[in-house]
Formats: sequence, C-alpha cells, structure tokens
Amino acid sequence: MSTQEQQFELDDYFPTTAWLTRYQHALDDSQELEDTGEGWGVGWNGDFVFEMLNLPIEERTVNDLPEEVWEALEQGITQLPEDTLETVLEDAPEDVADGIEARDGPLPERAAQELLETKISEAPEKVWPGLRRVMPDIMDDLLTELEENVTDDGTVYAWIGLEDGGCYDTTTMDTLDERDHGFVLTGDFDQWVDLVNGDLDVVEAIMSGKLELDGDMQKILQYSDAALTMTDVASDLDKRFLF
Amino acid sequence: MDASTDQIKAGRIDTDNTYYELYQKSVELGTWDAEKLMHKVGFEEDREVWNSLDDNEKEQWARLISYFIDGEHAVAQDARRIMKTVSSPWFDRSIEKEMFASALALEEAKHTQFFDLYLTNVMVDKFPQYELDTRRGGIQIPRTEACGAGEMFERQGTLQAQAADGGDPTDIARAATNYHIGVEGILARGGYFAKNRMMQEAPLKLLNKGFQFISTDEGRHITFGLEVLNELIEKERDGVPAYQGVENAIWEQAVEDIGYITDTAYFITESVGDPLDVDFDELVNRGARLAGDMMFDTLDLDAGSATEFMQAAADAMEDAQGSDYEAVIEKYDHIYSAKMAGD
Amino acid sequence: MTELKDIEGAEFTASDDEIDDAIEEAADDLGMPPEKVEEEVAYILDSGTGRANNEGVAGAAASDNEDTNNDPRLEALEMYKLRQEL
Ligand SMILES: [Fe+2]
Ligand SMILES: [Fe+2]
Repeated sequence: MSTQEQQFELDDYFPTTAWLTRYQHALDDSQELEDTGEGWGVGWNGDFVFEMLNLPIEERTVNDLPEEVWEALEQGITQLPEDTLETVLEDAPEDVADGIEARDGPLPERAAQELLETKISEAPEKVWPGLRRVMPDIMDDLLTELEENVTDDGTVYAWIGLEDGGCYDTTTMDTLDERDHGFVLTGDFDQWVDLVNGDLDVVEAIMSGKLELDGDMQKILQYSDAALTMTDVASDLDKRFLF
Repeated sequence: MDASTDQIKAGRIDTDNTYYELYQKSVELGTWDAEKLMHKVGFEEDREVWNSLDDNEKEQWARLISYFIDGEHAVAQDARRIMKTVSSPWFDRSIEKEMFASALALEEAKHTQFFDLYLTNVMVDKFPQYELDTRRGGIQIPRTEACGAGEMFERQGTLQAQAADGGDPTDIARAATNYHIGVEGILARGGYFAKNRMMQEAPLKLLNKGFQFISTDEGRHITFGLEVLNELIEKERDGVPAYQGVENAIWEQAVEDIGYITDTAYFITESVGDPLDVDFDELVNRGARLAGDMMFDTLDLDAGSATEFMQAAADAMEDAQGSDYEAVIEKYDHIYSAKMAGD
Repeated sequence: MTELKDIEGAEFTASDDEIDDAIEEAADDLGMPPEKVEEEVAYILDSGTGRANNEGVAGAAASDNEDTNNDPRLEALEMYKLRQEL
C-alpha cells in the first residue's frame, strides 16, 4: 500500500510530544515494566531526560520529511485556486516571495517548490499564518512541534516521569534543567532512531559510548532489565520518523 | 642521529608486523629510568602535599596505590608466562611477539620498582607493612587483600600458569582477557581515571609523572593483548577446531573480572567516603566505556550480552555495599604481621 | 600508525597550528625530525589504535602543568620531552 493513501496522526511521528504521550501510556500499561521497574524512583528521583542531539534540521529540507507529509503540502498548494494562492502569497515573507519570483514555471509549482526546498530549521518562520491556514493540518501541527520542541541547535529534550514501574507524565522541554530529573541519556538522533527501533541494545550503547548516561550508576545497573523493557516498549510502538 | 624516520631493512625480523611496531615503540618510549625520574623530579613537592592531607585523604590514595603496587608486582611475575605462551604452537611462533613480551616483562618490573620507590619515600606512614614479597611466602598488602583486586591478581596467576603450561587456545584466551582487558584495560585504566580526579585535589607531581609513563607503557600492553585475542578469535571464526570456544572463554572471563573490578572501584571511593572526589558513578561509567570499546569495538564479540556484563557489575556492587572492608584489612594486618615476624 | 591530528576520542583544545609549533620547537630542542616527534607523541596517546585511550595522559594533567592547557597532545609532548631526559 502506498503511504499516500494512509492517514497518519501527529502522535505517529517520532520525535513529537504527541508520540511521547503515547509512549507514556504504553509504558504505564506495561505489565513487564511494572515488574522490572518495581521500586524505581521510590524515595529518590527516577525521572529521565532523553537528550536527542543533532537532529538534521539544517541539512534536511521540507521534502526530506516523510513522503505523505510533503506530498500533502504540495497538493494543498497546487490545488488552491490561483487567485486564492495569490492572495495567500501577498503576505509571504520577503525572501520567500523573492525565492518564488526567481523560479520558472507556473505559480503553484513555483510556490510549492520554494516551500519544499526550505530548510527544516527555517520552515517554522518562513511559513506565515496565511499559508498555515490553507496547509494540511498535519503539516501545521508538525511545524508547531518543530518550533516549540526542537531547539535551534537541533536538540530535543524529552522528559519521562518514571516511578515504581509506571510512567506518570511526559513532556518535551526547551532546556535540560527545565524540570527536575535523576538521569540523562544523551546521544545523536541517529542512535535514538536505532534505539527506539529496537536495533540498539541500550546497555551496549552506553558501554560503547553511542549513548551517554548521567546519573546514579548503581541504580541503573540494578534496574538494567527495566531499561531494556523501556526500549522494548518503544520499539513495539508504531512510529514514523520525521528524519 | 638516533632518531631518523627511515626504516632500516631487516632480515629475519618482520618489521611490518604490529608486534614489531609495539616492540620498537617500547624501546623508544618504554625504556625510561625510574630512578632518574625520581632524581629529576624529586620527592620534595610530593612529600609536602602528602603531609598536608588528612588521614582519610591519605587512606584513599593508599587504597589506590596498594592495588597498583601489588598489581604491578603480579603482572611482572606473570610476564615470563606470557613470553612462554606467545611462543607456543597455538601462535605462529613469530619472534616479534616474543620480542614484545620481553619488553613487557621489563616494563612491568619497572612499574613495580616505581611504586616501591615512591611508597617508601613518600607514603610510608600509610604503609607500615608492605615489604613482603609474595614470592617469599608473603601475602599482598592487607588493603589489596581486602578488595576484589587482590582476588583478581591471584586468579591471574592461576590463569596465566594454565595458559603457559600446555594450555589450549581457550585457556590462553581466558588468561589474556584477565590480564590485558581486566587488569590492564579496565582496573588499571580505571585507576588512572581515579588518579586524575584525585590529583586535582592533591597534586602529587612525581606520582603523576610516574603514572603517565606507566599508563603509556600499559597502552602498548593492552594493544598487544587485544591483538593476541584477535588472532585467536579469527582462528575460531575460520572454523579451526582447536580454537572453538575462544569467544565464549573471553566473555566468561570478562564477566568474572568485572565483579572484582567493581568491588575495587567501590573500595577506593564510596567505602572510604571519597574525600578526593573521584565519583564512583563516573568511575563505573568510565570502566563500562573502556570495556565496551575493547569487547564490542575492537574484538567485536558477540558471545554474550552487555546486560549480562553490567548485571555482574551490579551484583558486585550490591555485595560491596554490604562489605566490611575495615574488618578484612584488620584481619590481614594481623596475618601480615605474623608473616613479617617469620611465622 | 595514526597521524597525531587524526586521533579521535579525546577533547582537543589546542589548534592544529599550536600543535605544529609545539612539535617544531620540541624537535628543534631534541635535535630530531619533527615527523618523528609527532609520531612518538601520537603513539603515546593511542598506542597504535587511532583512539586517545591513554587515560593517564589523555584524561587530564595533574594541575601542575598549566602550559599544556589540558590538551592531551601537548601533555603527551611534555611527557615525551621528559622521557628523552631519562
Ligand atoms: Fe604495569
Ligand atoms: Fe602492563
């Protein structure tokens, strides 16, 4: 089945705050985590931050996002009646307008190409409110995610509240210390992709330096089964990677 | 000039061999003179810093240095067995390996000498008894006996003897894992990590210089050990019957050794209150990284799981938390005194 | 053997130029070719592995050596100079 016909919700996409909420529920529902994580964080801070570094927001453009996302954007633009499009474009930021102007071909195609070739890091600011209103919802939501939850240097801080074998809250943060935590697991986004796909053993990743752990090693070692459960739960969840 | 970069043509020695490179680097870098180092740097500054430390800080240093002097002593003692093992028919009987093993033997002897001189001239107040040679019916220093390192060095002697005295490739793999990965690659390198931290609070200059020379020599020993293990693993992967079981042996030994090492890490940090801020967590983290680099990166082992390895460390840590090291030290103090008195 | 400036696995604070200058100067003092000095310094750090795994030198200097500014390559060079006197 082609991906174009499939519908995806925001919480299908990794890494988004919405996906994190799904992860929270899956963790909380996991019987295995209830067993392996029993006593975790009881009387001490067991909350985790997953620090995902170097999301390729500078290297990638909008048309590097999953196919169904940018195709919906392209269709949204090219299917607008030309006069509506012209009205929308009147409010475009200057550099976007110039970019569209400098291209060859019919206006809808030029406009679509200009937006598709925008760097991810620049997308939130280059997409003006008027355009957002005519954009597919998923694109609008994703832009909001990028704007609010990915730092300028391409970092995502996912905070996971863990206690006694359950997960009581999750969120994303602007900075590492926005919320109290007991542990930080840090690594490049690529490693996180491997990890949540189940292709990387978390303990092996720590031992080989692919991920770095900051926190009480004694606790982590005592609960290494719970750490594995957490990655198992992540890899069992459906997800589509934004990058 | 003795330092040309031009390679001189050799006859029977294979100068392209990694073992030859290691040997040659040992000649160039590893022939430092411990006595000259002492004269050059002098004891004065170190004595001054040492005397300014409170008893607990001295105790932390003493715990670290105990396992270094006994450890160097033990590896020096076993070096002759390594020379024998690498000349066994399980390898290609290349002279280059033996050349390097002889350099290793000299270096380990020198490391023992360095710590002996240093202890005697700077730290002696914390070591009223340490002169006994295990060869002459002595035991290890009570502090060493009290922690995992002591047990590990004894195990090393057994494993090295088994490997050298007609051992098969799995015996050799076990011995090399224990010596080069466990003792040199994690226990000693973890010790350098600890000393770096402790030096921030208590800069013992001469000791630091000694450690720098020693750790440089150890780097070659570790490269050598991993190279030897790689040879054995390759034969196993090629399907040579006598080498089957090598990877498994390496893995089992590494899991056993991480227990001794973790206990030692706890002994030199948490159990003494960590007055010089080594940080047990970071030490364990560092040890895990070093182990991971060697076992997963360099050797590409797939015999066991990282979780199993770390679980062994976790178990050792739990035991360590319940240990009464002081009582054990005291017990061995008595034994040591008795041995000194000639009983 | 790995070139000094290609070694990985440690935080290097000095620039390549600073390294080159320090090597040149040391080579001059020791009466050795700079390439040889550079080779020895690299070997001190990585023991032929390509990674700065010499914890005793690459980790951190005891605070007695401010000149090397905690760049392990300069620390290794200092050590090599001392070694040549022993
Ligand atoms: Fe040694
Ligand atoms: Fe050694």
